[in-house]
Amino acid sequence: MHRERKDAPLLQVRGLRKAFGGVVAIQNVDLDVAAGSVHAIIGPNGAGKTTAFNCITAFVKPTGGRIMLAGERIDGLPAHVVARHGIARTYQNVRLFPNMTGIENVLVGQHRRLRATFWEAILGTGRFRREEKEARERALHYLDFVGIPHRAQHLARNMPYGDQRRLEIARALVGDPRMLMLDEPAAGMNPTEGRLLVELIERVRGELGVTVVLIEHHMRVVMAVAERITVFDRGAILTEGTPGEIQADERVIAAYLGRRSGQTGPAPEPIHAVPAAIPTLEARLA
Amino acid sequence: MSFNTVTSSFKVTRRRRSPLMEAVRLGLIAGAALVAFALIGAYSAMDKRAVIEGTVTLSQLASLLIVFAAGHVAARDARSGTSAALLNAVVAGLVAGACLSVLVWLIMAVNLRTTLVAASPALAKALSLGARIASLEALAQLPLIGAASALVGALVGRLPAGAGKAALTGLAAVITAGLFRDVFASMLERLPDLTGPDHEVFGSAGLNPGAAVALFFLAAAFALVRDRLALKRGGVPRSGLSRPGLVLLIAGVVLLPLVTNDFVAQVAMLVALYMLMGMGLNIELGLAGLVDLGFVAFFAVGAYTVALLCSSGPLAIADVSFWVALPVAIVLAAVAGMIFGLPVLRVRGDYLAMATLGLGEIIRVLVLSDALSPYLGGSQGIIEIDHPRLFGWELKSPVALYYLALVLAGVVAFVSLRLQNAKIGRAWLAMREDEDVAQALGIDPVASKLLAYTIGAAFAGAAGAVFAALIGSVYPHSFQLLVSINVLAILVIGGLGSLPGVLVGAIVLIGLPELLREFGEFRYLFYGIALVAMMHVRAEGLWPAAYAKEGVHAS
Ligand SMILES: Nc1ncnc2c1ncn2[C@@H]1O[C@H](COP(=O)(O)OP(=O)(O)O)[C@@H](O)[C@H]1O
Ligand SMILES: [Mg+2]
Repeated sequence: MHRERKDAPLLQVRGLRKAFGGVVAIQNVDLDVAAGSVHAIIGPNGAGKTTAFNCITAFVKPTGGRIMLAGERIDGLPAHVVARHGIARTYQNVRLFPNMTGIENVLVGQHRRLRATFWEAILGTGRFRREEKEARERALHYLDFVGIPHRAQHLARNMPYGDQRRLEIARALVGDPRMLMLDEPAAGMNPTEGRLLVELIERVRGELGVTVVLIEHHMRVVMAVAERITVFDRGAILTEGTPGEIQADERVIAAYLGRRSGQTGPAPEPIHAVPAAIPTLEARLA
Repeated sequence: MSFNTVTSSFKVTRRRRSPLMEAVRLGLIAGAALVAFALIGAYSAMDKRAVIEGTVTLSQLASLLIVFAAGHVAARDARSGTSAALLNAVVAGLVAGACLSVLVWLIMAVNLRTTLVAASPALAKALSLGARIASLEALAQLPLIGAASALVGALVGRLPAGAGKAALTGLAAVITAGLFRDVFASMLERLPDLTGPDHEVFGSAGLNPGAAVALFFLAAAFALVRDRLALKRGGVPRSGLSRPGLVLLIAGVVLLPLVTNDFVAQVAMLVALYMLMGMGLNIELGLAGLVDLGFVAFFAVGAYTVALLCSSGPLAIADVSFWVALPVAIVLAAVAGMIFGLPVLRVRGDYLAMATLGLGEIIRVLVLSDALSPYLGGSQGIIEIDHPRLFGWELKSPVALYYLALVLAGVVAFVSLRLQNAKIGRAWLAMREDEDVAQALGIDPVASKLLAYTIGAAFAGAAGAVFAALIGSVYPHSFQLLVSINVLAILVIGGLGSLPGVLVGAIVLIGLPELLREFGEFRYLFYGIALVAMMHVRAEGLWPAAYAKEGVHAS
């Protein structure tokens, strides 16, 4: 397990910029994620949160800026090398391997941990067998950790949505990442599932010592787990602070309200999401 | 997988019609199929072959099956009760039979032969089934037979699921036994005769009628018992390999040439060869999801390597034993795979198919080119390749070479299985499912694709090596695009990603057409129809990988 020293920035992003053709999705994004912290990113739809994730995990190539993990430049590296640096993620629209079982999905997550070579696999050497056995046990352990031990033999595509989200987290965690990036993990969850998710995130940080960055719209989840919150708006960072500071920030409220009138921004937040978004906002709007 | 999208877009949408109209429509469709079948000459060609001796010829059987299917569908679509369903089937059968009657009458009344060569009096005679040509009796019996056949089809469809399946299994067994009389009869000849000369299973032309009935009930009973057992065990098995089935299949494959003749052994040898290639492509396509239409290139590299190293002809560069040349061929094919793979594998998805298509042709063009002809023989090929020797015993009979291919196929299957259940196999599957996500989990896409491509090429090289030893000569025209496409079809028919599927696919696509050679080009017609039908009914393959099976039953 990597236990990072608290407060040293694990992830540093400087001047990150991404343009799709002429459309600038994000610009001037500076982000510091302290090691061992839970850091939330919020903001209206289309603000560029997912794009920032995609740049960090090398899903897309940034147009400009620097990304450093524990002081090492990782921008420009291919995605699998970034993964080997210890970044794991989930996706806004769950992206499991649908025709593989729960345990197989989690086994793939261990790819970079396994050492046995191609020839050892063919010959079935002792090391290969031990490693496979250990990998299976570990996979089961992580399925258990996220609360779906009974899903090991089910095909991913046949699982209920909530379990798919958990499986995705197990697959990301099993590779021993230093940083776990969750893209809207509570989307489509009911309040009970939301509470379980908060609990899970706290255990990821507490028991596994993994730094967590999450994009989230459910403000109850965000306020419950995050130590710091970065607010995105229209491709740039609007502000950053503790949950208390963000709740009180007029600009944040305006950013959400601005979407409500629907004049600006690429993809307006659905109106019904707004009241659920920030508890104190709810009170002010009433 | 893109094949699934293609096949799922074929869904037929039916407009609501009155049930009787629907039955007439089905009857007309079946009738049109029958008429077409007769007019292309397939009926006459297949009428020479008896399935059940003295009772049913192959063309009669095919016609009966068409109407049988129409009756089956007519009854299934009926929303009302059983009697209405049966009535619909009878109507469909009557209409279908009447279409044939009209054809017979037309043939005799009007001279159609100027445009339709097959519309001869001989055809009319065959279709009159022993009655006087185009007599009233001859014309009337066809709709009646059609109605009876459709009724049987409807009844089978109305049976409880288990019994219906048993009846179909029985029917399939009789047809298979009748169709492949030569294979089974030659096998029975080698076995001790338990029933005595009065009770031969096969007559000189087809199944004996009594044996056909017995076989029908045996197979049906077998299907019933198997269903019961499966139910007892708790429904559908999760794994793609049902153990007893697999054991039977393997036992059959191992013992086959011992109990049959050289021709069958030769066909079996070809099947084994395609299995080798199929397992190679299975790594690329079935596991890693790489569509490769240039697969034959590596087959050619393996074949030419053995040819150059083992030939006693003028082009030989060495005269070593096959056992030395085989590993060299495998390694060279793998190296070729790696060299070709590097530029090609950065291309994604459907473009990969195009890129590899080019590669497959390049090899053939290279061999034929002026620069390489002096070394590789150009279109003259390389001849006089020595047969492999084992402990001073020359492997040259089809049976011996079949076992050689079979042993190699066994090794390749073993390696495939091991890899499938290791880190690399899971990485291949993951890449097939979602390449970006796989990469984000630390899988190097190019490296693992390259490995899949290299191993696939190595397997194809092994097949090529055996091929050269089998034929004793290699020519560029043996390495056509068609070979790659055949291998691809084997995988799709058998079930992508499934090893037993490769075996089943090779038997169905390579073995059966060889055994039906006497029907010339017509067999490809049925081959094509079977492929289309199969993609409708069982797009996941005949012996699908575990996941595809579960998907079908879960949705
Ligand atoms: N692959 C892409 N191609 C073109 N535009 C994109 C792409 N991905 C995101 N965008 C655009 O970038 C902007 C930010 O999107 P995104 O990062 O998904 O927002 P968020 O996750 O904050 O809702 C949107 O305007 C979106 O349309
Ligand atoms: Mg998003």
